[in-house]
Formats: sequence, structure tokens, C-alpha cells
Amino acid sequence: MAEYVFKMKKGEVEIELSSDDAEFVEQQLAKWREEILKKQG
Amino acid sequence: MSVYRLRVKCNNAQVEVIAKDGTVIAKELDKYLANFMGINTVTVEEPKEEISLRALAESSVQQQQKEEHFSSQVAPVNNGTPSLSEFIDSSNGYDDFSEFIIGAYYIKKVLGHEFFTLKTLNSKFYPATGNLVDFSMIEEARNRGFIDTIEDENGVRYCLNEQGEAFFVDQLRG
Repeated sequence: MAEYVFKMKKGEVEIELSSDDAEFVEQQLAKWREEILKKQG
Repeated sequence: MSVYRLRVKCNNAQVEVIAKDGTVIAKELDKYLANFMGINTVTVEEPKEEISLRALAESSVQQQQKEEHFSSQVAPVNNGTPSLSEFIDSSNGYDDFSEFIIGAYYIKKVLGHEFFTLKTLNSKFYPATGNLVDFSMIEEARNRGFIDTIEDENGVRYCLNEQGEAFFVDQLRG
């Protein structure tokens, strides 16, 4: 079964999410992407 | 059945959560998302806040001669006000908690700010140490009688009390 890994790093803090639930990882990734883009805008 | 794993690393510490339900992991991730975005917010706001806090610190230092040891012990920058990083370096902090108390003392006595929120504290603490103060640390300080909590229409604020100041003076002052 495939495993999906999503990593975020800021300063010394590093977060790594991994799961075989592709939909879950996709949802979380979308949430972070949306927030980051909102911040950039 | 799916497996959800969240690993958080900070400096040399690492926490790993493994769950069979993604809800718990999603909630944790939301907290980190808010935190990451929060750090950005306070960093952007920092210069504006620094100016007002510095003005407060200058008047506070004039009024409180007993705080004069700061200017003699810590290399002054920015019109005589040491940065938190310098202040921590000149103190005797030995772990994250003691550095948090040093940070709270710095905000109260050096910057002249009676109260702090977790956000304003972290806006100083994170750039200086690379670490974040979380509620567990606030809770510990509260349990040890070092800080008071003020809850009003402005939200939740904290204040280093006399016992907290005494802890700094007795144990942490450089």
C-alpha cells in the first residue's frame, strides 16, 4: 500500500504527516496550501 | 484500515503520534497550522510593536531605579534596551521553562509591559530561542505560583507575579 508523506518546516520546528490515506493527506495539504497562499496574498 | 502518523521535531526533541483515526491528527495539524501562520503574523507586526514597547521600556527604566542592573549586566542595543536573546544569554537559564520565565521577566521589567499573551510572548521568544512557549509551560508556571492569569474582554493575558520575579532574581539572574 502506498504511503504519502507531507513535511512542513519553519525555523527549528519540523512537522511530518504520513498516511496511506491519500484523500486525508490531500485534504491536509490543501488546507496548508490555502493558508500559505492566503498569507502570501 | 488506514494509519495516520504525525511526527514533530524541534531542536533535539521529537514527538510522534500514530493513530487509526485521522481526526486526532487533523486537529493537531490545525493547531500547528495556526501556530505557523501565527508566527508569520507576529513577525510581520514586530517592528510596530517594538517601537511602542521600547518607548514604554524607556519610561519604565527611568521610574524604576532598582532595575538598573540590566544596563550594567547586558550589552545594550537599540537605545539601551537589550534584545531578549542577549538577555537570555546573560541570564542563567538552564531549560525551556527557565528561559520562558526569563522571557516573561524581560517583557515585564525590560520592556515595561505588565501583561503578555502567548502570542506576544512567542513573538519575542521564538526569534530569540527558536522555541515556542505552549500552554503546558504556562500551566507549569501557574502551578508553581509564578504567573497570574487575567481574563477580561481583551482575552486571556498573563502577568509574572512577585513570586515569579523572585524566582528569576534568586535562580536565573546572571
